[in-house]
Amino acid sequence: MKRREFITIALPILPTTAFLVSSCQPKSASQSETTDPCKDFSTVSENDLKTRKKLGYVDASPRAESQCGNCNLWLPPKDGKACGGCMLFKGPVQTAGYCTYWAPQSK
Amino acid sequence: MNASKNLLFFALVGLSWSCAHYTDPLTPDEALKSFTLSDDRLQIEVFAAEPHVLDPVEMVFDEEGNAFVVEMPDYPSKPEDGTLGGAIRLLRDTNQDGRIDSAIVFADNLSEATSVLPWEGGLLVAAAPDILFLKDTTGDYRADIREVLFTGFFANNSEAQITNLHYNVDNWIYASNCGQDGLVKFMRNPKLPPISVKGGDFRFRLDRGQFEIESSTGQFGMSVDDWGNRFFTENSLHIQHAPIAGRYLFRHPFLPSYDVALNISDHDPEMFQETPAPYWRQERTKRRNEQFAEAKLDRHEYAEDHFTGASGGTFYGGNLLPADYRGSVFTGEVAGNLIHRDIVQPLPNSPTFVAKRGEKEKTTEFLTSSDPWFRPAQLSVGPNGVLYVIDMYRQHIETPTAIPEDLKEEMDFFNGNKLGRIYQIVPKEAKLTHEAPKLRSKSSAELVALLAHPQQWWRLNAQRLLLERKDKSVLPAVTDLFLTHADARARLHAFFVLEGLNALTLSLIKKALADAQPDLRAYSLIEAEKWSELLPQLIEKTTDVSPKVSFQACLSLGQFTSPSVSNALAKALSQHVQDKWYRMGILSSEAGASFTLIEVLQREGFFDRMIPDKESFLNDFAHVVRARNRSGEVQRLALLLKKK
Ligand code: SF4
Repeated sequence: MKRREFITIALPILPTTAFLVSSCQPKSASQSETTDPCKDFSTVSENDLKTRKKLGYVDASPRAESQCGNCNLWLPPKDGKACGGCMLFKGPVQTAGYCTYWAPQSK
Repeated sequence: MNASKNLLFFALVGLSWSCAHYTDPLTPDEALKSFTLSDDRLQIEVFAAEPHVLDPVEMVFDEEGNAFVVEMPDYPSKPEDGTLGGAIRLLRDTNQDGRIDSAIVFADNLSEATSVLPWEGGLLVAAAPDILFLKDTTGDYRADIREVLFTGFFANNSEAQITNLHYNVDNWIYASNCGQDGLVKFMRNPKLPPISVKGGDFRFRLDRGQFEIESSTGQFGMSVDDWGNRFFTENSLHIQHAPIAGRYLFRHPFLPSYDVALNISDHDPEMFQETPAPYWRQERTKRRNEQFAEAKLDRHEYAEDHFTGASGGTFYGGNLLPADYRGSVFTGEVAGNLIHRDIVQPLPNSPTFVAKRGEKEKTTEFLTSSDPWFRPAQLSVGPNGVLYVIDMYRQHIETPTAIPEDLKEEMDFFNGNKLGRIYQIVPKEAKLTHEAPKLRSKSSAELVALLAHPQQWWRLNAQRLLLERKDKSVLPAVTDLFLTHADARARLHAFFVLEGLNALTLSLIKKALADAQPDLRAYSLIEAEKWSELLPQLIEKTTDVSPKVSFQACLSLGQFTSPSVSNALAKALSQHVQDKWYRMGILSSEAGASFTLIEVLQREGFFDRMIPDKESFLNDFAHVVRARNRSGEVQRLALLLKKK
């Protein structure tokens, strides 16, 4: 690819990157936890909550490249849903989440 | 499994079904018959068994030749009454016949200890959330000193906690943290701020009070080769390498990715087990695959013949096994009931490695068992060069919470927790020495000579003891060894004894920079970072024929900020832009993420012909610029790129 052609491709990444960075900033106070469907555990059983805890599930993975979203046990969000699920327990699971049972996806 | 092996399997276990789905245990001597070694020059024998050893997960030999075993009876969950079963035992062979006949409990009441390392006459112990120092001062072989050295590690899953303590040739002690979140405090100096180990492993030096995050995410299993390269294991990923050390990777917090764990196996995910998958796994896998299909996901799970429980990688640095085994990495597979072997070779064009199968193991494994209770959690190499297999010997190894309730009904996760055993693998013709090395009673001069021993165990222990003694009278002899010895491994150990005794001079580092062995040149670059007068030599090494050296030169140069550094890094980037590690390593430094570098690249015509790897670098550079958000830099980059 010629440099001139590349510039037209490379430059749009700057705003994208900016978005990525800004999305890492803390949430504003208006985004309260109770309105977040990914934090709604009202229909989740005690047992599933216990499993989630025992597996060490966290909403934000400590390992950037190992996240629920690329785990073999991840269930992507169904149509119209904001968050996905995990085959090991019921309840909302974040794409960027993680537990100590993470395994790479295999085909 | 082929038909004859099937028959053998059923002959061994067919009479002992305890219920419809699971087999009963075998005695250690019966279990010997369940093994198949790929090499008929070797044999496997019992070294230690219950009641001398229970639930073993690691064994190490201290400088005297004492075998310390870590026991983990609380796996997979600690008792609810709060008692702790973890223990460390000293195994003894009182009649020196090569088989353990007694044991002393060195320490007990431990919370999930998984790894030990001999240190200053005692043991460092990884027992999340702590790293402890235990020592016996009364001569009864029971620890009476118990000091918490570090605390704050993740402690909620015994399979992913702080573990794998290794004293390395560079005088740092490495430990695997599996990337878990934790704020770690050094209790010998509580005034130091705690450090976050989130996303990485851990390394520390007690002689200098240093500790930091390391850039890998190992789980249970770490092997360290003759040159200090670390390879680590994580369940289904049986051998990984991290080419960029943490002190470089985390120099600035703006890289688009901090993941440097690379799967170096060229034969994943396949393995060749003899045991059929247990009933619960077959059934669970069937259900999961149905779920994948239902959700229309292009995903599959394999119940067997694929790595899932790789644990405990061990570099063979001994010289007892035939010469073709030197340098191999052996890894246990607790789910496949086998031991896998990798031959690890440096890549010719990249600062990392490839792990290959051996010639005799293209369609089999180094060792397989037909006994589903065989759980090779870890391996170990003794001072006599014997390869030991630490067999936890459990009916089940799996996180219970990950198994559906109905399948768990007939499973006892503690079945076997009194049945551990340790085997030894030796050549059939071998004459084993059982004489204890007793390094503590050796003179410092004798220890210096051992830095050139052909076996890794001796070299590392001699180095450690020399530094422990801080006996500067050895400096002339060590310097002589470094300057004259024909074996590069001896020169390397001598180099780091000098480093540990603060005796590395400019001229010695210059000498090491010109060494014929690339690893030694690479280590000398790290030392050269402390000497600004060596900057020209550092720059020169960016064009070294060895990628290990030229890559390290790029990382080391990034510790400097002069304009000549950006020039040199730009040149190195042009030459190695196809390699992800050079791109990432260069970008990790201030100079490598500077506008001076981009300007040099532009001047040299780097952007005239774009290829995907150049785009990738530029994208990552743009990410750094945006993320660090310095005044005017985004506009400056946009302008630069628009300029003809
Ligand atoms: S098993 Fe995978 S998908 Fe499920 S919580 Fe753990 S990391 Fe996420």
